[in-house]
Amino acid sequence: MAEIATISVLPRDPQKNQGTGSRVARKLRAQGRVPAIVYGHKQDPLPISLSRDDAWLLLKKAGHLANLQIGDVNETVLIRDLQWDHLGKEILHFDFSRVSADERIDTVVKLATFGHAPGLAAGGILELLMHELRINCRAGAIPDEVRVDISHLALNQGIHVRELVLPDGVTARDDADKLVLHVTSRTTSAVTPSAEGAATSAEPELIGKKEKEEKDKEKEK
Amino acid sequence: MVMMPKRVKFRKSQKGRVRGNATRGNYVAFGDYGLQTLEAGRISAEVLEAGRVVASQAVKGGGKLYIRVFPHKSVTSIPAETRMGKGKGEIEYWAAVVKPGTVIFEIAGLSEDAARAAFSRVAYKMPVRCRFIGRRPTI
Repeated sequence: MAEIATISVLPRDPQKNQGTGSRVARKLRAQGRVPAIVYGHKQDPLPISLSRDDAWLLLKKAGHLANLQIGDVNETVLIRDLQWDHLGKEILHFDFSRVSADERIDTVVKLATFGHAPGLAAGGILELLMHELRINCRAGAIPDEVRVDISHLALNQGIHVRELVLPDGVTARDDADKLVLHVTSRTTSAVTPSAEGAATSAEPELIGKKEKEEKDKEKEK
Repeated sequence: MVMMPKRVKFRKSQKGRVRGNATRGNYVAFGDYGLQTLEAGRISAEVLEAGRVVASQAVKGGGKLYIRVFPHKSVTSIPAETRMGKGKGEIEYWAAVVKPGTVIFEIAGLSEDAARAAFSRVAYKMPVRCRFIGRRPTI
């Protein structure tokens, strides 16, 4: 389990519109602070801000949990959500959810492979279809990563979510039949995930053109 | 093979303006590393194809290349020394409209150094400034 970072945060100024809103957030970011919110456990949501250095520290320690010192109060929170700018360079906002160590929570952990697959030596390539796994576990026992053993994988074999070896007390939230990774034969063609594929003719077909022509022909008859 | 749509509702499109930043398709979703645009613009299907050829040479040893954009927009032009009027010109090429932050290519199964080297060659061919990015941290 990763180390839990302890950082001190400031509650936002309640005099000015409860310290919320895009203008306040923009001002905070200009001062080198990251706006954030703490919610959960049926308590009122608390708008806070933390320094940019602390925000990066939270991410670099790669822990899901953090200890926030808000004045005299110390709260254990889970990093629930994170907003980035359009380039993914700057952190815009954190969502923290109050948790206790024994509480069961849903979160996402990294998948890491180990071992040498015989299928790779036979000319295959390892294709990771999932990079993260949604899990349910105790907040105090979130694993850093789920390790996937690929040492038995031959060519055209894969590992499904149901075959993953998870630590005690951890259950997978993803579909059990979902393919995590597989060893496939090498292909040099590129994949276009967002595209409907290239047209074979020089010009694309016009939608509705055929129907219009058929209607015109019927009219002529 | 240069990419273009299979079916379209209208062959020619208006010019349009590229405003704002990419709010989707702006992070590495499929591979390990990606090439992200820092400027708005149009990337023609020919340039995308040239980038694909360069990048696919790098992934020949084992790896996978993903193209995250598609040339949906038709760009027309009229021939030189043509009088005004007589309607819109003929389609010259197809282009992908990109905003700052759009991820154009992704690579999986390569080391960071190899991916960086491949994408630097691809970025040289692109009409917009690009940068090399990795996956965002898992939280």
